[in-house]
Amino acid sequence: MNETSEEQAMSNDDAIETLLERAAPRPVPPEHVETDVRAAVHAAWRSTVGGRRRRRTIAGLAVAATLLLAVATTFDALRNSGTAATLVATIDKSHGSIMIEGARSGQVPADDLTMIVTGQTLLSAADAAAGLAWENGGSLRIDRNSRVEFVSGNEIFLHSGRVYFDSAPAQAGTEFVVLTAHGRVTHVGTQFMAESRPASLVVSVREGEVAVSGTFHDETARKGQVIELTGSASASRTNTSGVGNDWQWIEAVAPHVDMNGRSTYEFLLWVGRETGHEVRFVTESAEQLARDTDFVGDIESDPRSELRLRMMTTDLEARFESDEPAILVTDSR
Amino acid sequence: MRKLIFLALAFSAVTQAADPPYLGRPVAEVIDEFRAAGESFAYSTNLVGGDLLVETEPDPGAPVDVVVQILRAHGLTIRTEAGVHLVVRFDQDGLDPGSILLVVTSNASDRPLPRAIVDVVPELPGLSRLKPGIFEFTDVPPGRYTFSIEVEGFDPVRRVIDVWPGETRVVPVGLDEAKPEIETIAVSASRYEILRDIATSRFVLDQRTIQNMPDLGEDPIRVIQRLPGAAASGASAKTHLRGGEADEIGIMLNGQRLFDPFHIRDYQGIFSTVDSRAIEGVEVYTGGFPVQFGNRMSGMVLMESLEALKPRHTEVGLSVFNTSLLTAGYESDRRWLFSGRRGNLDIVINPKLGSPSYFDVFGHYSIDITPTATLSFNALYADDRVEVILESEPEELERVVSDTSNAQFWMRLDNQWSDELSSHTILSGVSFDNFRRGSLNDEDKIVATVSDKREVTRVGFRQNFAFTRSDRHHVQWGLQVEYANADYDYANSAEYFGLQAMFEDQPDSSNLALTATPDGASYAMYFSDRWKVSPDSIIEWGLRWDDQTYTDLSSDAQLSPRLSYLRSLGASTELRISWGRYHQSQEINELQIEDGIANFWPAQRADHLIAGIRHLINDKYALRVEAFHKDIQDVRPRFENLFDPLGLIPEVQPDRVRLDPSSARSQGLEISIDRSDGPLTWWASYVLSEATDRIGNRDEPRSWDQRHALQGGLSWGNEKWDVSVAASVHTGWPLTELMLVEDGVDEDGEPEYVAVPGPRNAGRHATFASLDFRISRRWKLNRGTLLAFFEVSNLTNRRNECCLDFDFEEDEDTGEDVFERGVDYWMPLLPAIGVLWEF
Repeated sequence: MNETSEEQAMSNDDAIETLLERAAPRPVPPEHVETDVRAAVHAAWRSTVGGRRRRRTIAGLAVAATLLLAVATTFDALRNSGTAATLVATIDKSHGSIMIEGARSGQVPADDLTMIVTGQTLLSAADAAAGLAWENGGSLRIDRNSRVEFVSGNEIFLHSGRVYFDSAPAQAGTEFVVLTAHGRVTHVGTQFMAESRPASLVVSVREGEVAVSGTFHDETARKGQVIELTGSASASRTNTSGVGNDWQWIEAVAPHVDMNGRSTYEFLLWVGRETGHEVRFVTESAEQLARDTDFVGDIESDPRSELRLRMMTTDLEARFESDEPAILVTDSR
Repeated sequence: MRKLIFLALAFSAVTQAADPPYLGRPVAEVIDEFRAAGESFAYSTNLVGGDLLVETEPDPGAPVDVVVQILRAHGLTIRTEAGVHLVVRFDQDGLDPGSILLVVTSNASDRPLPRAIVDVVPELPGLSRLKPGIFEFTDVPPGRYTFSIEVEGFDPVRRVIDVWPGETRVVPVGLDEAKPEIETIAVSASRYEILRDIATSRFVLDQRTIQNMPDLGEDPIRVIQRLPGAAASGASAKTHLRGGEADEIGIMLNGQRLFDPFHIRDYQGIFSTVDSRAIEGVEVYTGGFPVQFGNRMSGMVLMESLEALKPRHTEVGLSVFNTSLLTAGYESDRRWLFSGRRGNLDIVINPKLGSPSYFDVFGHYSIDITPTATLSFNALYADDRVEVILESEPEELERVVSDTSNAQFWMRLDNQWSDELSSHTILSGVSFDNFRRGSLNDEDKIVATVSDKREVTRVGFRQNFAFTRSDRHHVQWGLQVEYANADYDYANSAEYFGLQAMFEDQPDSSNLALTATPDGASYAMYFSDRWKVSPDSIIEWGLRWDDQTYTDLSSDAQLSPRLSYLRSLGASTELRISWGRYHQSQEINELQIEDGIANFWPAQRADHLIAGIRHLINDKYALRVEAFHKDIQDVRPRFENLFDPLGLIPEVQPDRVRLDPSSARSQGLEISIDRSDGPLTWWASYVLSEATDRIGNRDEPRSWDQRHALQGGLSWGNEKWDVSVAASVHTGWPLTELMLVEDGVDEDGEPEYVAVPGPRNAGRHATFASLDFRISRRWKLNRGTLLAFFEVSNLTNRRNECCLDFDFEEDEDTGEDVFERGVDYWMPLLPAIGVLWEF
């Protein structure tokens, strides 16, 4: 890579990093909003149950509850290893039926903005998928029919199904590990997909490099490679373009990025990264126009749909090449 | 009451979102205020820049309605998708179609005009004529369209109409009756105006018609071979008009006469260097042209480069003959066009026949430097690397290689000094290089080599004025100065064997080497007055003076008076008579050095007398009858090949003869009729003519003389298909026989023979006939249109005789050489295909 293209790549990475930072966990609601919400919930609860209360009942219940809490706390303190649950991710976008299973609770439905802590397990139904903003940076996508346990701030256990992880370039050096029954998948700054099947582990790499420590073999998968580990057999390697049917589910749960005030150029790079396509400007004037043009207003949609809508507001045309993973950007006038 | 309060609050919310008045405020600011109030608008700074201001105060309404009104002045609108109001261009693909109702009336009477012809660019489907003069276009994609409306007897009108999504535009178009404006009436007889947008006019050969003509390579110069009075072989793009030589036609582009505008110039000049896609159309004079055009005796071909009807227009073409790219456009006060073509013959023909490789590029850029002055720059470059092989076997090799580069540049300034006075001024330059080398290696006939270099540079200045003081006189005058120099370097070596050595007075060998470096100037001035002598009569008289200094001839200045008369005989008939003297000097690049002539001849002179009548029948048919007589004096000696005009190195062939006519004459009668009404058009013409040279005491037919000539054709088209058929039949061209005559005996007492040509052009080839066909289909694509065509020249594969070939052949029975006469033929059946993508 020559100096210019390296600079270009760095520039692109910076832009993507900025974008992914913007795609990180949703901002915490302002304190007064939280207070208002709590008050409203509390009032609703009181209106439901308050009418049946009697002063003497409250006193009795308070004593019983205190005793029960003391017993439970003591029991839990004895049983717990001492590790506190920590926030690891927030559901950014999802569709279909998503359930969260706590370490000591049953399944509860989850939706957007649901926060996930260590020890919890996410289950996606056959019609579902979820995109999670990872607390330590990056985006985790969980495909349908998957069961993912959140082990720590940099580890998940993929019991079954398929996940995709995209780390922001700024998180390069931050390890993210996918544990499976067939082995351990480790990466440092990349885009990859891991699928845990009943008898095998499949790892596909769109960008960067991934280390796979299987039960019987250790392998490294590089950009454009697919590795399948099945039992004690040698790993099979095939190629992937990083796009296509296997990858398309990722886009539907891509994190929403607010493009208001961002340039068309940044937007195109984001779409390219989310869809696995390289952005190519057919003419210099098209690239210049993309750099000079800013978007105003928010559009919430998947990357491809947003691309179609955003391009309508410019004198640019962007089309996905059919025979290679590229988005061609041209002047439309 | 509650409703009233709600409405009041709602209105209050709107006014708080973006308070009127909006006029003069930045559009982006107004939209941003609506966004801040919760309206879901999205735009880009590409279309909604900071300098975009609200130009008219919108009517009160919902935010979207207000914004739509504000955007309209800027060619923008709102498209709502996914719950977001996107600011987009009004002509974006996918928006709701609109419709247009075009009402064409006479300004004088307000009555609808039933015979209106409506042409629209880009093309629109879905046209229906609701009533006479009322046209409806439905399902029109939003965008900008240019309508050209023409009605016989009215001045044409062009309108640019924007169609907005979902809207119906009612467009009244009033036409003024055409007045006999003196500037626009060409009183010269024989003027065929071939314009781009008048598909139903007589001799309609606009650009589209040129495309649809089944002629080789869609060549705009070849098209004139379809006109009455034209004689052509079909092999060359060059044409004889009314008995004249092929080099007697001037070809002009954007006011500048082109210098040798032909590809493969050393072998027939098969194609012109002008791309038919790059011009609006052609206008042809087959004789009797006005004094502003000089130094040619037979005709003029005038072309103007295409003017784009939309801001950006591009065409990409691929055919058997060419690969081409054309792009044109305009922007406020400037217009441009670029055309590039590469010949494909070197790819498609058998390498054993050679490799004719060539390309040409043309560029035009014009800018209105003031409201009354336009400056334009034009450049035409043609480059040939041509190898022609007639025999590839080493023992019979016939091969010529020719490299040519021809660069022409001219700058034109058009001034409108006042309502009465206008001018155009042209500065031009030409740089031409040609290097031909060839060899013939048939030891039974001829062994020859030739090396021929010529270079020409020329600069020129030309200025023309037009002055119209009243509606009775239109005066034009102008001058022209050119300076040129040329370098000729010619060699020649030939040895003759067999029959070729037996020609009478034929030397056994030839070894010619000549150089010449002429240089000098040429001058011209002219003056003409078009005078409306009565309401139905116009006279145009003019005088032209030409002189040349490079010819080294004293007193060779030429004076050319011309007079034309037009009389209207009722509403449908016009009579035209013209007489004129036309001189043609030998231009600096026309030295006959290959035939051993290193000096220039005096200018030739032709006197044209033409009378013509044109009559319209039922406003559908145009009948034209024209008689002409041309008397040619001071005829320049010329060289021809008696038997075979297609020889590879014609000047070394033993049948090469020098002709020294004392005078020449051409006369004839032309009758033509055409109909252009509706999708089917047809034309037909018959010409009775005679063209002779006076050589000695005998009038010899010129080698392209054709006593009877019939031409005809028809074409049909709709939105998708165009089909055309054209036929040409004429008397066979003259031929000369060759005889062997006993000329004593040799040492053994055997008779000796000498080859003696018979009387020149005393015989005739068989009748020439050719039927040509073309079909094309147009598809509308997401972006532009795609046209594919298939055409066949000489559909019946008729063997039209062109040449005689005499030789000795060994008799299989006796083993003796027998004198044989063979016949060669013009073009066989020639199919071609191609595609053109326009967007």
